[in-house]
Amino acid sequence: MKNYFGKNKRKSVDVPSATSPNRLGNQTGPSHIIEVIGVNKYFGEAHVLKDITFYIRNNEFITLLGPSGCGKSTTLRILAGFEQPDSGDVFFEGKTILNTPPHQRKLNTVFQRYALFPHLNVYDNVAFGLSIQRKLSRAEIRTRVEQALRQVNLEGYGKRWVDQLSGGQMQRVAIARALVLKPQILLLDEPLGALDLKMRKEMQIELKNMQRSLGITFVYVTHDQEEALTMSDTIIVMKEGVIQQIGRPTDIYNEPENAFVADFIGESNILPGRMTRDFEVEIAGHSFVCVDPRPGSDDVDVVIRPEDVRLEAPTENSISGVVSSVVFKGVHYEMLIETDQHEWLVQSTEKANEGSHVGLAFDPDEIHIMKKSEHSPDRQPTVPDGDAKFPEQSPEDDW
Amino acid sequence: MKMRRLAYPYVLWMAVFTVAPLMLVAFYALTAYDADGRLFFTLQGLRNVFATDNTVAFNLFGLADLFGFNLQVPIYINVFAKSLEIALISTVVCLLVGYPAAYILAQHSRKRRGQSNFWLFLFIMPMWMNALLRTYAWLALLEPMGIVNTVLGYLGIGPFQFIYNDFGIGLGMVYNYLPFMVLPIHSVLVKISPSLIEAAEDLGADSTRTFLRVTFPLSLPGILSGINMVFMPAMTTFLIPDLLGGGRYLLIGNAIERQFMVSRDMTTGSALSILLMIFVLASMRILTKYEQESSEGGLLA
Repeated sequence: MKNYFGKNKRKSVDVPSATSPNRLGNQTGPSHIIEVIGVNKYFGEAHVLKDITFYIRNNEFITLLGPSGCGKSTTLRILAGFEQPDSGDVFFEGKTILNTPPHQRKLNTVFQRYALFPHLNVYDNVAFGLSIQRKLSRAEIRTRVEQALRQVNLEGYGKRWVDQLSGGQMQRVAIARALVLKPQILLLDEPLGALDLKMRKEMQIELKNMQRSLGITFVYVTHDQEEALTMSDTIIVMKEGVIQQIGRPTDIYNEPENAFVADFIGESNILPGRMTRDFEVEIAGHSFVCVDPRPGSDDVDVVIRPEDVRLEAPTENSISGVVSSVVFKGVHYEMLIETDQHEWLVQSTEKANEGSHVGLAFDPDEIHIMKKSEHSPDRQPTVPDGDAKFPEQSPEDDW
Repeated sequence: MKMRRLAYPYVLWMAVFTVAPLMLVAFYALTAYDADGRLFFTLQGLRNVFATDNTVAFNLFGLADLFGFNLQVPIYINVFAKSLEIALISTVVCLLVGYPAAYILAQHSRKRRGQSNFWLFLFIMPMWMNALLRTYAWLALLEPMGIVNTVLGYLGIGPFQFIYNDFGIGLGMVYNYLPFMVLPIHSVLVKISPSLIEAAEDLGADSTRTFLRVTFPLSLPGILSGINMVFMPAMTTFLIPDLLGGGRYLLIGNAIERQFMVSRDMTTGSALSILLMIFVLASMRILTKYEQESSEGGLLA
């Protein structure tokens, strides 16, 4: 773990790209428990996974993140063995597992809707996998089931029927049922999606603690960016079957690879900029010092997070505008600043009066430069709004 | 309150067409007319059913032959036993044939969700035809000089006695009642969430064990209602044994029919009906009790 965090800027090394075909050959090693290489998947005409390549380190909490239909669940189902890729390969500890049926794979799944067996009680649900193996005595099974139930704080619930449980309890049973088999990898498919906000927050922390204390690799699928940022060691951002970025939560948040990632992970101001030389960018007619080099073309996308924008008295050299709305959000105020070309989203603990004229300021290291991509906002830059763009998110998914 | 008022027509319907006839049958079973045409209370009908002056050897499932005992029972009890034997065998055969059929149909419907299932439709379609007609068709096919025996004759085999025996009656019952077994099992199977099957596989169960430990237990309610739907008519039918038994065969349904239509003995006929009803209700009660127990885990939820 220490090594892992010590390694800086993993994304620049690890993002799969067609230009570095040798990357995988060099990096194959015992620490990569799973390697997914060049996987493509079609459902009829639809190309749902496009050349997916990534690896999973032993004992890490890795999250597949993206809007619905991005292929994250399909990727997980390929790992579990419920779907076969049309091309590409999946390696488990260096050996392909494409010919291994699901019941022989050393990984277990926590299903989206729990998929608990309704004809069995909690105890028998958890004991299911152990009793299938036929290797253990009844007493051994009992010990392990009770231990698993203890791990998920469901001691004494063994005799309950699954339809007598709350959503959170069912979730715990599903986790216990998978963990009791001591898998090397636990796959979780939007496991908290059906829980209410409070329960979800609690379970996020519990899951993360569980993963740390058990030392099991977790592969987690979610469309909730906050969940991903909270729990993951590594996040894989996907869109329309393509991996957009792989990196640590801080990398993904602070240095999004493109406008899609910037937009999807948290709220952001994405603006067109021009760079004619390194470390200097022109935004809305004003020139700013930044810490990024010129990416190779003059036109760039600039991301500035709303909490990084300071409001000051307008000067000749600053971008300035009129405060068009102020909303109190608890910890901070959320304000919209109308400028000539763009509507800025600003979050600050200090309130500006609606209708007042303000200047915008930001530090050089708060300006993040991205290459133009297909995801770039075209002429009319937009203020990102998670709700409107990803309708499958319920309101409480928002920050 | 409004809902309760809406129920009144049904209550009336059941009173007129279910409760009243039942009471009439019970009334007939316990009464008779004397020589002067006066009605009087009697237990003669019930006594006739259990009359020991006319006994035959009891041989349910050939058990008497197997164990070499000779038990003389009243003739109607033997008819009862014979009906039970044929109904049970038909139900078991329906289950053995119907379950795999329902399973295959369910797999098929699952793959093409939302579309009507052509094969299931084919299974149900014969039910739209008159039962009498369908059964007559079997006669034409299976009689000694019928189509099947003729074809077999060309091949140098046969002729076989297909009808006017247990086989013929059993075949008729299986053919007629198979859809009633297939439909409830199919509708339970298609409702089993695919993720439960995947969960079982994920937890290490191969396809055989997934079936035995998950699919089959989850389909038990369908099996039980299938058994209900087949056993009940198989036990009480008189049409099938009448036609495919060649009229020589006496099952409980025919016995009742004859009491009314041939002997004109309403008292004995009604007594037989009441006893049959009690027997069928009792067996259904046992089955539903099992069904409730097995569905406690939320199967039907």
